[in-house]
Amino acid sequence: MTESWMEGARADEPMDEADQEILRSLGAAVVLVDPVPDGLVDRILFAMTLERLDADVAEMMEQVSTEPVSIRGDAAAVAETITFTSSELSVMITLSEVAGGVRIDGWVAPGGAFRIEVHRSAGVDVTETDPDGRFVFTAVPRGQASLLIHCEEPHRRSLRTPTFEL
Amino acid sequence: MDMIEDDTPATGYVGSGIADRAARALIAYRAGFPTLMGEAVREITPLLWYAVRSQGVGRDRAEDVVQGVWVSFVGGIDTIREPQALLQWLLVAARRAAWASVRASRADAVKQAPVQDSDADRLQALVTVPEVDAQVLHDERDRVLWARFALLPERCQALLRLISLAERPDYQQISAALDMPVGSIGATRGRCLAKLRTLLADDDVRGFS
Repeated sequence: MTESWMEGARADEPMDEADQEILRSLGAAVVLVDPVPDGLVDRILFAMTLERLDADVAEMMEQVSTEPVSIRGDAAAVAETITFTSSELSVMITLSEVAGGVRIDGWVAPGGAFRIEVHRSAGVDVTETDPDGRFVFTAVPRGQASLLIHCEEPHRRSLRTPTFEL
Repeated sequence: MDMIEDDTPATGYVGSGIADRAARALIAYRAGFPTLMGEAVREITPLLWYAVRSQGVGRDRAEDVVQGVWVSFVGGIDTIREPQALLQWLLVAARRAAWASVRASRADAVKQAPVQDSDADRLQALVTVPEVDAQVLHDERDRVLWARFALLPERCQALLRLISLAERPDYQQISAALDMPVGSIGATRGRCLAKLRTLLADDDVRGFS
């Protein structure tokens, strides 16, 4: 805790030296025993950034992990499939581990031209769907992420997913 | 809470306190400049964390509660009319969210408790404040202090926790965080410290008697 918490102090019943010593020890113990979790501030800043996007939020419907599969004799990788829906669109993504991060294979239904953004606290990657609504991010660094699905037609609201873990 | 009469072009707030910094951050954020708000989040999140933990919310849930307060601030940013009130708004929101979280987890605990448990056992399960690791305290004196502190009534623990984290506690902020009238904080602090000293005196712990 920084000094900032303390401005506007009030003078009231004075504390003796022993009181102050107890409070000092207690404050030190609280910070050690119950520290603010690592990364909490960064997760909050990311969530605030997403909240500011002008987009409806899709609902996470289903999250399925599949057994590790060995492809072409490569190291076994766990794939994970997540489904999101809104009143207008469904989005299905499959996450698989690759060198340098996570590959995202996605499909927007009904298909059409969408710009897809993957937001992470460190930045944004962008791609576009093919006419069937398919899209790929070949290697996205791990961490919390959220997809923004932006329809190229005018007057349609963008959609974003809740955050998920890459 | 009064507007400070000043001609600083950027925001109009020149105070140096945390509430002033939060007010400046809010104005800049609304105008599309998020940097100051990032700093405010960094500065204020520990206050919200300890305020929420003081209400007995577990560490896992406390993360969600604190994050939820910030997200609802972004969603409701236009409802905060007086930028100087942002800090107070956040502390009150954190307290309310903490209470809602505690109510929800107690309701869960009651549902899950086996029926044959005695009321006393069940109550005990409900009031146990969970899962911090006192092993990180290497000094025997600190461990005893922590153990005795845990015996205080919840309200005392909450208040002393927040006061202990500041050298010059701001009673307005503590009042918002705990829903305790500003005028009663001094006397309550005195009673709670006296209780703690009595508990410590029983142990004959060097230095605190």
